[in-house]
Amino acid sequence: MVRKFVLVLVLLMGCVSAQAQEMEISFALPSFSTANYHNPYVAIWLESNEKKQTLLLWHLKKGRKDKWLVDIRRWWRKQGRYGEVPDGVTGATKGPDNYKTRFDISGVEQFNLFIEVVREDGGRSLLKQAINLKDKQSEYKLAADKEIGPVTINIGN
Amino acid sequence: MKLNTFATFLSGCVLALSTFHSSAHDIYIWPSYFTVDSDKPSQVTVDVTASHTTFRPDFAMPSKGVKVYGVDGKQIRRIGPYFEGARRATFDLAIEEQGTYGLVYERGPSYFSQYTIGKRDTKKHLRTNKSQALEQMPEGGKNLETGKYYTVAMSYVTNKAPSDAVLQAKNTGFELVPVTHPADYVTGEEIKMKLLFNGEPVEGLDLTIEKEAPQYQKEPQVVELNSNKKGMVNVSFTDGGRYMLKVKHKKISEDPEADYDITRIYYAFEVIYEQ
Repeated sequence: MVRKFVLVLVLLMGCVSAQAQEMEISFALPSFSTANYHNPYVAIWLESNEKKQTLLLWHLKKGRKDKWLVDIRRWWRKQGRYGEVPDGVTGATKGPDNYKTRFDISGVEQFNLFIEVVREDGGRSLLKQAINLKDKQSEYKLAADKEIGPVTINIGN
Repeated sequence: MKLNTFATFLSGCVLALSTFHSSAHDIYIWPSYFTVDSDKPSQVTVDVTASHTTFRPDFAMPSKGVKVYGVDGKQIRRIGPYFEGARRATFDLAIEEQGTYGLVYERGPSYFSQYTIGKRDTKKHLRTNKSQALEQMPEGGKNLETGKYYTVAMSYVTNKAPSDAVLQAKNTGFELVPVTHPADYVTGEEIKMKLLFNGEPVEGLDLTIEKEAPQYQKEPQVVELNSNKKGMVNVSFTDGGRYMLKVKHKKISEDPEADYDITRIYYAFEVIYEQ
């Protein structure tokens, strides 16, 4: 009986330690009073020595058939042109609002996080944050730029 | 050495660089899109023109000199309809594969002679080789010099992931070979290219890179560079945009009909503003 309890306990502990490393990003897309407003393209991705991984891609068309993806300039050069965007990462463009999304970042420890926002007939913002999970820093705050409001990054399980 | 200082461009510099062929126009070939994302066959419009102003068409060039290289580095023979207008020539480049295409316009060799005559040593020009110039030159003509000219205009188009086959050196004659892939020219990052003659580095050659639309600037933006002993040229830009690189190689000719062999290269490329 005791053995069974120990076994269950060990299994539970194993589950906890194998739990995915997650990152939550809160950001706002600001509104613009312009006659020619289009929802912006948004890309969030990480670059580390080991890999580059797209976490989020909001663009106009379903799937990858969108010739304007080249306008998400850095994302295109580092990720998009190689066609490596996994399913479940892409979504339709969204309007001005506050957003909060969680990402699985298991498998990376030290990386640069990039957020690129590009608006047709508008501007472009590129934010970058170096993150090292060894630092045990749980929160990062990035200043707003023209096309994106303040960003909060929370690291946690 | 990283050079990103823009110097004031004086038209006199152009004259100084090309005293031997001052009446010649620069020849440009450039695509409407340097970077495309297309799974299906697509088209990119290519302009071919001769001009004194960067990226402003002035004289159309005939189709004879156009060479298009596919992503495998091999020449594509059929390029479709070629429209030759008054100011520029255009054709549609079929983009059917992923990778990097090469666009080239070649002209020459053509002979160009120059001599001086009269009390004021007035310069006269003839579009002839040396023996024809000797026949045509009036009595009293002197200081005859003949150049054998080659002109190469070049540019690249990349569909999706870049490829390298089209960038390989041919190791014949004077060449500009991109080291940094043209699809990776972004602001703030070093761009490398090398100059070769018959595959050997060309050291100490002057070249200029001019930003597009000088007619809309207070002063044209021009970088003046010099190749190092490995023939390398390194540059970085703070401004995104289209740029035109110009370089001229001159050597003593082995052709009895010329004193010099001169190769002029015009390389059109785009620098993406990234950050």
